[in-house]
Amino acid sequence: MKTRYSGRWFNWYPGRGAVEKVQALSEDEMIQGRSLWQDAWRRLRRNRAALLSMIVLGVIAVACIVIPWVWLYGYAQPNWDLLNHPPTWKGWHIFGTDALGRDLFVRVMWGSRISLMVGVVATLVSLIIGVSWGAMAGYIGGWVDGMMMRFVDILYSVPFIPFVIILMVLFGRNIFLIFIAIGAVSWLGIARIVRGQTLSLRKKEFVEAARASGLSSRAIVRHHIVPNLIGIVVVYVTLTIPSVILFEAFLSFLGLGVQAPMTSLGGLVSDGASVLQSSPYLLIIPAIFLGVIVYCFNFIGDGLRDALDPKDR
Amino acid sequence: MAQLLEIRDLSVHFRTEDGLVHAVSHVDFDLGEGEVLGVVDESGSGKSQTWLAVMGLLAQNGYATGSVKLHGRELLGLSPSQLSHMRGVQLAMIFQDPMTALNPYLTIGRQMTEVLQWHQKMRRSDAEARAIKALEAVHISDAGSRLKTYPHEFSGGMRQRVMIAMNMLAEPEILICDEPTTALDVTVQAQILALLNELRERFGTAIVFITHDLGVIAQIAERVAVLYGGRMMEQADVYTLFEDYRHPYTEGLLRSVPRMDEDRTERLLTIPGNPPNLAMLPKGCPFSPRCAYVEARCQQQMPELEVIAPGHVRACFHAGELGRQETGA
Amino acid sequence: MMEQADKLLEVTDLKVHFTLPGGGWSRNKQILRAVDGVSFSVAPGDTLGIVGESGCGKSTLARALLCLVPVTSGSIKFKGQELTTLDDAAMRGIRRNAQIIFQDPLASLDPRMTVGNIITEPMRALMPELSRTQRHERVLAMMQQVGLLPSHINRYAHEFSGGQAQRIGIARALVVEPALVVCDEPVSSLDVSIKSQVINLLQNLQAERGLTYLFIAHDLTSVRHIAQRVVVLYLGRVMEVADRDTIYRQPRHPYTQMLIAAVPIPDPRVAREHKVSAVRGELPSPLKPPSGCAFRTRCPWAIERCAMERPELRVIENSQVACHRAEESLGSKLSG
Ligand SMILES: Nc1ncnc2c1ncn2[C@@H]1O[C@H](COP(=O)(O)OP(=O)(O)OP(=O)(O)O)[C@@H](O)[C@H]1O
Ligand SMILES: Nc1ncnc2c1ncn2[C@@H]1O[C@H](COP(=O)(O)OP(=O)(O)OP(=O)(O)O)[C@@H](O)[C@H]1O
Ligand code: SF4
Ligand code: SF4
Ligand SMILES: [Mg+2]
Ligand SMILES: [Mg+2]
Repeated sequence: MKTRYSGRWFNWYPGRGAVEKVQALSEDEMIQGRSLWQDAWRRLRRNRAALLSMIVLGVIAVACIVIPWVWLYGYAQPNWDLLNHPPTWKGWHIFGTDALGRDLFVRVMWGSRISLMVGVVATLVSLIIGVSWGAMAGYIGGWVDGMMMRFVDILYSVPFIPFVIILMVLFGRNIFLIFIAIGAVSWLGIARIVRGQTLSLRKKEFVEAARASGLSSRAIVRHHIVPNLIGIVVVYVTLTIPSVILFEAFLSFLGLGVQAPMTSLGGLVSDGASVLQSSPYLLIIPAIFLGVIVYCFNFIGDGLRDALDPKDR
Repeated sequence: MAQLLEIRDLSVHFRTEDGLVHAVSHVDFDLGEGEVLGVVDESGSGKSQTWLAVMGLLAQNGYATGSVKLHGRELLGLSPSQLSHMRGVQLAMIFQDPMTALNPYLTIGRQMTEVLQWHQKMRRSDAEARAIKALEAVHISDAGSRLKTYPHEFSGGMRQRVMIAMNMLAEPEILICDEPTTALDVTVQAQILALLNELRERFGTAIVFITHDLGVIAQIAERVAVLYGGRMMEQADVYTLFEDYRHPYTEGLLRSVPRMDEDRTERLLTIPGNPPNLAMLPKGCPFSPRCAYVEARCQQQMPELEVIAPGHVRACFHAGELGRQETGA
Repeated sequence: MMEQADKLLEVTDLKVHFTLPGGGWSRNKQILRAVDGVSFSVAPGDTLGIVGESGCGKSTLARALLCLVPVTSGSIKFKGQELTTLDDAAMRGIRRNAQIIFQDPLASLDPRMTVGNIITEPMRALMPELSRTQRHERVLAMMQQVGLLPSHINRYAHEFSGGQAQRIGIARALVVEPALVVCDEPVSSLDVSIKSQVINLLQNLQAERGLTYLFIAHDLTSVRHIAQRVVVLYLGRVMEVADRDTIYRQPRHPYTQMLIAAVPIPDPRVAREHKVSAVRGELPSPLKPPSGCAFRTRCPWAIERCAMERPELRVIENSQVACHRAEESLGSKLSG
């Protein structure tokens, strides 16, 4: 199974980098028991960047869930008295307002919420499809495996961004569709990883022992294969979420993102970029949030990978 | 016999996340020229680490204290380059799994000649001739063409013989064998043991043979050291140890080996309990949780090594006769 | 030659062949005959020992008996029922009566399951009639029988030593009360002092429950303590079958003799008397077994006929031997 690296922009997939990072993990370490997790947790906590990232992400997540409910303004609510105003205490526009007088603070919160949701939901979709597909292919093996993985290969070679653009044009801009589109494509990577792991797990003696105990194939996949894949999947998830968020930002930049007046961090950055000269804070503030969120996930993912890597002990 | 290697009060510690692990504590060994020392131990209780420390090959988080003298010269604390020179020439070590010590991507010939070209500045053709000789010494047929093969083309037993040949190239004074036959079949084991005996007679190499199988010890060793939980339990010459042992652990080991040369017994004798966990050793004698003769003070303090006869030492409080051990569960 | 009725397990001319992709550039596939025409039978309550060097097909045979690898040809009859033609569902009924203990104790336990779950699992699949509490009670009883403490129930496999892990494996195999237990080298990876504990445990359990064992090992020492009959395998073929006492007192096949001679004797005086190894040669690759008698490349008694003709298993006095020269060799053939 080769991973093809393509320099062509339309062949970029969310989650690509994550694939290589996860594959670098040694398989044995991923299937060890609880003490591995305890060790990993201990090491993760000692990793300052990862720990800080978890705290920051936690704060952002709570804030962007709570604040839109309780804040003085809604995301589409204009304050006609203050148009294009930089951050100020007046009227609590702490991040300022945009050209339509909408409060940037609440919009950034909404944007973070949408971006995180896109990241998490799309990753979940890809996770569910990818894990079941990969585990099935790996566990059944033989020609079924061959067929299933050829299918993955074929999808892998479909240029993704034109595909999304066509979807958008056909069905209109719809956040639900974005989730599905991104999820439906980024499962390819996880499917490959999971299949490889399953192939090696399948040969483990404890799986044979489960067969000798009379378990059906489905029960074996559910009780023995999937739980032993968790380690890899966790790392994959933390590394895929930021790439999905970035991808959504990229779509927004192309004008294919969330429908206005609703917005995402990518949308805010995109809007801000056009007024960089007059009101730079409209770009800088959402860009900082976007960067922080993406880096936090990356740090956590890297931290998890190191924490689970025996060679780093 | 002249003393070749003198180990005094050697301890090996590992810094781990659970605190300091004492893999080996205060052991003494002597090795004479051409002597064969057998080291017996339960698995995971410090056999390998003792000798890795002697070789200067401890893991990053390990350190050794005490003294290791080769020809009167202190080895602990030598610089890495001094150690690596000494390793090729005076000390060699064979491991349990030959595949971990062989590079799978290089031919056997390349791996063997490299050492000679590097250490002894030999010409390539000379080095090859030496390598062929060494392979023939370990009874590998058709040695010339074998030089061009890769490790995976050999069976487990042959790989181990190639390892022996590689390590004998520089004709070291001491060959340390860390369970070289544990992973192999009895048939292959018999061949390796015969080979080691033969090499020793031919080259006068001193051998340290680490194993947990007393049957193997009986074949090859002259002196035997029995360790448990990283501590010396008993040390004697091989006949004394097998016939006049004075330590409960030695007794248990000897009695739990199923024997082919005696009538079959209905039940095997065992040592009850579990192997030692170095991270959680008992306060006193490490064998006390499994010992049939355990007394109150055994759990409080570690017995000192005492000399009971010339060349026979043991560490145990039990004063009376042995021979009370029952069959375990 | 044997009574058919009272055999619990009867294996006839069993073959398990693996197809491997050809090496290098060649496209033709190679066939590895891991088990190549093995026949034996076991009576209820007996223990049959199976011995042979590493790679001679012992584990493959064990797996084939429980239909864990596809059988190429031959027949396996368990309580008179043919197993090779059963489908998965029907096989589940058999599994309740035939269980296996694996070679590597730690590898055969799922690292993410607690001991309690590991032992409960076969009951969930094979004894659905039991209630939760009944299962829990049986787990505790079973753990006690194999010498595990009740407090171990929520621990994970890696928290145990090899010997304890093997006890968990034994408990898992016995908890559904099988009639036959295939033990695939249950003690090979254990320390000497722990080895005898586990063998004694297996013997106790057999006496209590009237179990039938198929006990696999790669050397003859532990088999001698537990088996009544012994089958000696070499490159997937049976070399000799005989009662325990016969095989140890009067080994007839040159390979059996070699195996016996290779066992180190824990007595320095005896050991030093014969320093010359009785073992010759290397195990040939199972992909290219020698023609005729598989053992001929290492046999001190090989003659021309041995290369031409594959020796059949023949009855000689109390033994069955596959050797052309078995009759000639009533004494031990090995010098030294
Ligand atoms: N780098 C390390 N860090 C921490 N502990 C270590 C390290 N290396 C070894 N140990 C511990 O030291 C102890 C002794 O190890 P050693 O390898 O000497 O055992 P052994 O007697 O050779 O066992 P075996 O028979 O299994 O080879 C073990 O309990 C091991 O866990
Ligand atoms: N699934 C498989 N596919 C191909 N070859 C196999 C497979 N399983 C086993 N073999 C081969 O069959 C032969 C017999 O293997 P098996 O595991 O039965 O040996 P064994 O006698 O159990 O050895 P050991 O004592 O090392 O466990 C070996 O040469 C092995 O490489
Ligand atoms: S000191 Fe005590 S516990 Fe230790 S071996 Fe001797 S009698 Fe047993
Ligand atoms: S048949 Fe021939 S080669 Fe085979 S064991 Fe008998 S004598 Fe040896
Ligand atoms: Mg070791
Ligand atoms: Mg096996």
